[in-house]
Amino acid sequence: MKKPTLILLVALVAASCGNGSAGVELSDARVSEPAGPNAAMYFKATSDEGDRLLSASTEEAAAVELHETQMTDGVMSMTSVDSLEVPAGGELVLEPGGFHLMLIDAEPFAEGSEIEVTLVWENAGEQTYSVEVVAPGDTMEHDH
Amino acid sequence: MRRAALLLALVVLLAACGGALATDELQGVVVDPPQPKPSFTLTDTSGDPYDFALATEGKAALLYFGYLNCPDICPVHLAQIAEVFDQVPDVARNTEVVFVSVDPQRDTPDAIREYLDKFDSSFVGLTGTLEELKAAQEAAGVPLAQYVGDGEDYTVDHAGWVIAFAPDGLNHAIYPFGVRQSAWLNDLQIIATQ
Repeated sequence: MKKPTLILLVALVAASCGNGSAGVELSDARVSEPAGPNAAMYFKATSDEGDRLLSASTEEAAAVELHETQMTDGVMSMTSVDSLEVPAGGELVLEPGGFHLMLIDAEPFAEGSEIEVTLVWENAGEQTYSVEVVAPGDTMEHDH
Repeated sequence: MRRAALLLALVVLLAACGGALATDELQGVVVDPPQPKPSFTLTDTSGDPYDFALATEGKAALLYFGYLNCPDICPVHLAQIAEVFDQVPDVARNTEVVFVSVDPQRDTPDAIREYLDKFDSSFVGLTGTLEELKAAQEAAGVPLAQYVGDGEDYTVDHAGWVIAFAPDGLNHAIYPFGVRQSAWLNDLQIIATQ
């Protein structure tokens, strides 16, 4: 009885340590295979302390910009933003029709592969993530 | 109770008499009364003139104004429609998808073709001069595309919705961005095959 308890305790400690170092947890990270010159990347980010995404880069594109799509009376416009905030204890959501990272002059990476993207956070610093490439436009959360 | 039953009968009767298209089952934004198909001619990706009304006569048609540098919402609309085409061959057979690029400065016919082939090679791509594109947008009743920013990195503000025409030649519904896949699947079957 004593040994399993100890193992469980060690596992719990290890799990809690593994979380803390990055500070920002990324989920649902995906980038579209480029159909035109550019590709869009989306994810959800959470942080206990809160953080701010300052910039992004990848070898698979000439540049990466932080963008917001806005809709006014059904007319779509796209503007660049300086940074994106992850509220403390909350969630930053990048999704079609809202915030996205725009990979400008993207390489022809294909659906099913993964690309490395580096995000620069105000607190967590530079973090490199492996991001799944999905089919062009297959970026919405699925409802079926 | 009798009154409710009578009302129900009336609704059923109205639905049955209301014409071929069951617009009450559509999940898109229903256009009431339905609007006639616009008339305009642009150039397709082979360089041939494309008369929208003539080319789509007797078929369902989905008309969308966009541009290739738009990485966010344009590909989502096209991917959603392409997915329905894959699932329901009857819809694909009876529906013409017409993508009009409103960015003639950057979007060459070859680039438009390559772009659309990523979704479905049957999708029609159109381009034209700024004047021709303006006429097409006015005919379709969408706000004119606005070119924002300097140099090569300008963006294009454009109508975010897809305009759906049934084989009867009328626009019965529009699809703003954010329509769920299940709604596309439901509506395209009604629009294309009823």
